[in-house]
Amino acid sequence: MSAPTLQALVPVRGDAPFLAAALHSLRAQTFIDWQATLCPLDANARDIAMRAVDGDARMQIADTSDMAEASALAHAADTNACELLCVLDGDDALEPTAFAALMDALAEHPAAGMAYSRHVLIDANGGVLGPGPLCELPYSADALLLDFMTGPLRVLRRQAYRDAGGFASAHADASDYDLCLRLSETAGVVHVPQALYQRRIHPLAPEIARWAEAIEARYGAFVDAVKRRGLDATYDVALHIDSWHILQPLRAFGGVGNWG
Amino acid sequence: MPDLISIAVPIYNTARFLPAALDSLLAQDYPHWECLLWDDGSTDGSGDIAAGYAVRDPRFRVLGDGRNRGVSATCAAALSEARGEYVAILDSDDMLEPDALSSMLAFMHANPRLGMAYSEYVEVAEDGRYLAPGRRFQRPYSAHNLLVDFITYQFRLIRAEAYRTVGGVDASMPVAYDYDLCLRLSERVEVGHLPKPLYRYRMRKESISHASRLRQVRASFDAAQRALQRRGLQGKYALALGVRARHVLRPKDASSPQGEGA
Repeated sequence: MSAPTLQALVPVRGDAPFLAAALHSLRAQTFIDWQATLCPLDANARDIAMRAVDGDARMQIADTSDMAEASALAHAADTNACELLCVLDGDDALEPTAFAALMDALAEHPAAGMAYSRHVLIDANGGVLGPGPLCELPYSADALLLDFMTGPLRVLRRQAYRDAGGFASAHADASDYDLCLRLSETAGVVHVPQALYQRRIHPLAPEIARWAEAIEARYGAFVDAVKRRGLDATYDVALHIDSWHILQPLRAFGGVGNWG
Repeated sequence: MPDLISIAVPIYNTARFLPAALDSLLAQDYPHWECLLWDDGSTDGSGDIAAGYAVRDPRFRVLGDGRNRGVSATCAAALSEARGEYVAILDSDDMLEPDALSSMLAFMHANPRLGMAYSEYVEVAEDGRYLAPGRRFQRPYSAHNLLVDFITYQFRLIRAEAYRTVGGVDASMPVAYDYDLCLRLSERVEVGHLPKPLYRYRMRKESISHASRLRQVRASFDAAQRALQRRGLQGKYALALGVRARHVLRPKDASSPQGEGA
């Protein structure tokens, strides 16, 4: 029996309170030839993942509970033969046509190695906070150095993923940005201007809990990309950080973010 | 007796800029001040420069043992030696305008209910060239607004009694200790604004590391959150932190003075 067309990597961390919603959105896809590899990042997440899979044969659980996220995703991707792969964070959710739309885009652009969509931000209750702040920016490999517009939903051809070097641990808190930068140097990228992904913002989300580490890691990936591209001979690099406090009535969201 | 103003100058590897800072004190049109020089373990000769000023003018007091202990601990230690009725802090790479002390003191005398006053400031390049007016003071001051913005950035003059009442500089805070101090003062004393640029903030090319800058952002936010709790507002308001990190590519021949504020 041949492998399904698409592998969805699903990192699962902590108490994974939103995992059921994530898996529900997977099962609701109009494109059905997929399999999911859940990547628990600790023992507790593994127990929760096992319960959430509930015998669904399309969902596997990788042995990643002692790994950092980038290593876990790389491990899960390396042990799979699906032609395409993507990441669905265990906190997030897909729109039902997400896979179909991105696969159509790749079919229309056979030279492209990756397709990505727009997304919306949602809160812990699923309420929409607004559009993803960067995903409407025009894509180019150069523009990607400055703004991470290619995410969070991306479908990659496995060959392009391998050619780019896959998920790496060098910039662990920005492994997705690092991968996109490397992929942008070796393959074409196509943008689907539809909001096909719901990125959940909550206090324990990695970009909230580890926002400072993520900023440093993204900058490190940027600096490496500048060197790989030979731009360091003519350009200096810098990181400008602006911050502000927002005081608001308690009913609103309280936390930190790097929303651009 | 005229009021004595005690000015703490924590020093760490600012030999290039320290003379300008100390000369700006010597140029004050108000002579009743003492400068509390505390070298925080400099390795670039800053300590010797400070000692030289102390030899020339007894208003400069060299304190400490030269060990590195961090800027907040240094500042707290220096101000614990203050003998003046007023205290202030001058960063060792910045400068005061000649009428900074006299203007601030006159403002405090005219407003005796104030526990602290702050002025406006300008940004200057490494070579001292004027760059732009500061921005932090543009938001009207209130204790509430201070939770959102560090409005009371330099130059500040604080009544020594008020400084001691709030416990002074928290020596355990590696960064953002000045913002934390202002938050605590704003909860206990009245604060006034003198709309006059009296401080020159030097924008350094070798600005602090990204990691330090991020620690500063986090520490400032933590200080504001603690203030929210001290004020009993945590049941009514939530404080959120917005951060924008921009990657910059700049042609090598187009470098310009850069800096990132606290």
